[in-house]
Amino acid sequence: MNLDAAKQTFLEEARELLEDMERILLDVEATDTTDEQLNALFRAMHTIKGSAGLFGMDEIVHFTHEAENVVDLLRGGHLALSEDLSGLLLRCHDHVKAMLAVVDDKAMQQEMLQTSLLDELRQYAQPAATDEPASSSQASVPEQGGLRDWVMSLRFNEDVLRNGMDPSAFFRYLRLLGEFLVVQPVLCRLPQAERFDPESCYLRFELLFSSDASQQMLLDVFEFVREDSQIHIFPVGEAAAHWPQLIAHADEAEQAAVRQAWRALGLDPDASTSAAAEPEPAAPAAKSADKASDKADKPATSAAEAKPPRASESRFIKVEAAKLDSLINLIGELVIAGAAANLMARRSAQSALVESTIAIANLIEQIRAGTLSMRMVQIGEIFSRFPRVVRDVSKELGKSIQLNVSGADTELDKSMVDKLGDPLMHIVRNAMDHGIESSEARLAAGKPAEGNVWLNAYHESGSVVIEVADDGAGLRKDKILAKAVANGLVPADSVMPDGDIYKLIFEPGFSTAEQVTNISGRGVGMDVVRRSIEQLRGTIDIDSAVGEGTTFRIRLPLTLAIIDGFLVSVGNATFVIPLETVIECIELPSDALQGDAHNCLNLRGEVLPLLGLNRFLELGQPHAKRQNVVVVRYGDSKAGLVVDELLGEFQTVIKPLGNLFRHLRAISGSTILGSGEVALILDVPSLIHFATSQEAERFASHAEHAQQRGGHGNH
Amino acid sequence: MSSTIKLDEECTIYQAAQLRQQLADALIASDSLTVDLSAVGEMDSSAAQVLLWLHSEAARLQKTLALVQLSAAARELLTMLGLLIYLPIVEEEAGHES
Repeated sequence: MNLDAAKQTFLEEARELLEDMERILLDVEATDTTDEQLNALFRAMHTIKGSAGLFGMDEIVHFTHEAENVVDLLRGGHLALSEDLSGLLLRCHDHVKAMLAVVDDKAMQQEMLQTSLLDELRQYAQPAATDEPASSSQASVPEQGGLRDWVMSLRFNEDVLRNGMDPSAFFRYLRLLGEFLVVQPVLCRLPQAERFDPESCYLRFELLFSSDASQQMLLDVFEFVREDSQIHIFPVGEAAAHWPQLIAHADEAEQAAVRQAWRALGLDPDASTSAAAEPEPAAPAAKSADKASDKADKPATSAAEAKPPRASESRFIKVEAAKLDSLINLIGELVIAGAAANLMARRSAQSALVESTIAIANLIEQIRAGTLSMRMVQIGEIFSRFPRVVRDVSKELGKSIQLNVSGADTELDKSMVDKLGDPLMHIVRNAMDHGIESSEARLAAGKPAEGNVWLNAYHESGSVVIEVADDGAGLRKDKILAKAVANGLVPADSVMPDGDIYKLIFEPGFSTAEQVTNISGRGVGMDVVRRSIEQLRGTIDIDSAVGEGTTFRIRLPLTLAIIDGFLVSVGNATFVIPLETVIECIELPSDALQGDAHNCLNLRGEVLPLLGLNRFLELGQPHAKRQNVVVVRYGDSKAGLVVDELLGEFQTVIKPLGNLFRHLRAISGSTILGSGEVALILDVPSLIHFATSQEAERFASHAEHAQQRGGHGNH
Repeated sequence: MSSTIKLDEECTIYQAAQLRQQLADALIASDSLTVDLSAVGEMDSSAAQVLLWLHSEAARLQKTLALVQLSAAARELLTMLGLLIYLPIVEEEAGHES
């Protein structure tokens, strides 16, 4: 009944097919083509054509038909997949995608049909068609050889109408592929009186159809209904042998009716008994004997290859993202409510009650993990766009660049994947445009002419790391620094760690036209990149070596909704530290704190900058007798947070702060404790940054005694 | 007692339930029912099926049914599905009498 939903399914499926097509086209450039790949290409065009036909999108049918012809020739071995041709097919892919985007705009589609792509496609289709009879008539016969008569037995599932499929639409589409010779409806399944449900489909058709299409093509017409309907299509000669198959689901009345219909078609169903007894070749007439045997293994192979995708289809359920979001929201509430119940139980001191709340908490934990994992998608979803981009951009720039992808199966929250595409694209483009030198320059520098761009993703201590690396010229520190000084971003004589210097390219408007050669342009829009990463609560770092290349390292939290927190208190204020950043907790040695907000601790021979939360957040709490240090880590830096009490682990549902508090750097969100109290979630990266920069500053001032400190403390 | 009922422009799965009800009521109310298909602009298999069912109902209840004035759309669909000969279609103007 729901046509819109069916159309949505079609669009979704088409999108996936197009993605496959693109992937294959990009793959085959590097390697030899396999039959499987060519078949997949064909299936993409063919299925889109078939489905578009069902929805009356004639323009798309027209266009994909031309593309399909060419791919069919490829598949038959009459054409080779040259670079030129795969380029053309890629453009066709784009075109179909564009047409699908304006599916509701007939006029626009008409207009899009006026494209030179069609002529190019025909050029490929034509010459091959002419020399075909000479070369291999035998192979081409089943693919596109002359007209054949087909017997179709269409017994639709009762639900097809409700699912938005109209049997007559299949008929309409079939008319494009050939001609109906005789149509024999079988009406015996139509119930009487009240048992008739007008939204169920009771129709069955037995028909003769004349077409030059292959059996697979005809079967594909019924792609959408094949699973639960009984659709059988056979060449006239072979039909009788399949009679038992046709009536497998039919009761006696229906069998009799179908038998009668077959007689009306001029077929003899009872020939099957004799044909089934002797294997198969007896049935078809001599003139088509070799065609038929050719045919006999064709459908077998094509049916086999059609099966696996079907199986994978049913392994996945597509769910609307909003539904999942609201589920996760509810689970967040459940976590809070569970924590509250647990607290009450403990207060009541009834051990049975406590035990059962603990059991519930365990289950909630599992549900939470399960639900969150549903949101996780493989980062390959974004990575898969890049081969195309790299190919196109490198052609445009006249550079030879190889893309290497690894860790594409690393999982990441869906909402982040959606927002990561653009920033990553920007970085990759920049790496190709400005990072990698021209082939001549590379050869002159003693490097291979072909440049490399690496995309890599992996999990590390509760975050996802995505690296974009190139083996280009690298960033020139001196030039960046000079530029920054000229722009007044940093004081002229400032001493900065390398990482901070590289980060200057993220400053808005850093790069300008007069910027020289190898860093030129690297700053364009880089501030936007940094901002989008920061919005995802991530960070971005740069490593670079002159002459060797540059690596952008993006570090993102695993999920945005719920985290495992570590609960600490300072006086009567409670804070949550994301557990994944906590390395260890130690008691603060009594001689370590000298009433100063920040200090250092000798942690097994390592200098650990300390940050007293009481002082730093100006809580004004009285000093506790015993204090603890929570050692936290983010990326490569560590710091110790000085707190009063350690309260243990706590599942934390992040409630974002209101707009008013957006600029707060030390607090990343809030949560509600089981007791109903609000606890603030500490923003560990910025606290560490603060602690280390304070420490560096102190060190610098010690070393140089009177050093002017400019705009350091404001990060 | 005979009556004529004229189908709406749209006869698709969206109207199937209503169409069946409308035709069933009309069939019960009269001995001889004429269905006028002249206005049908859009028709799908579900509507064809309702007509087939109506035909078998008329036979069961021993009433007379005639389909008249097939529009181009209706004729095209019924022809394509091979259903024309299974329905009591009366071609001439004076279809009321049959």
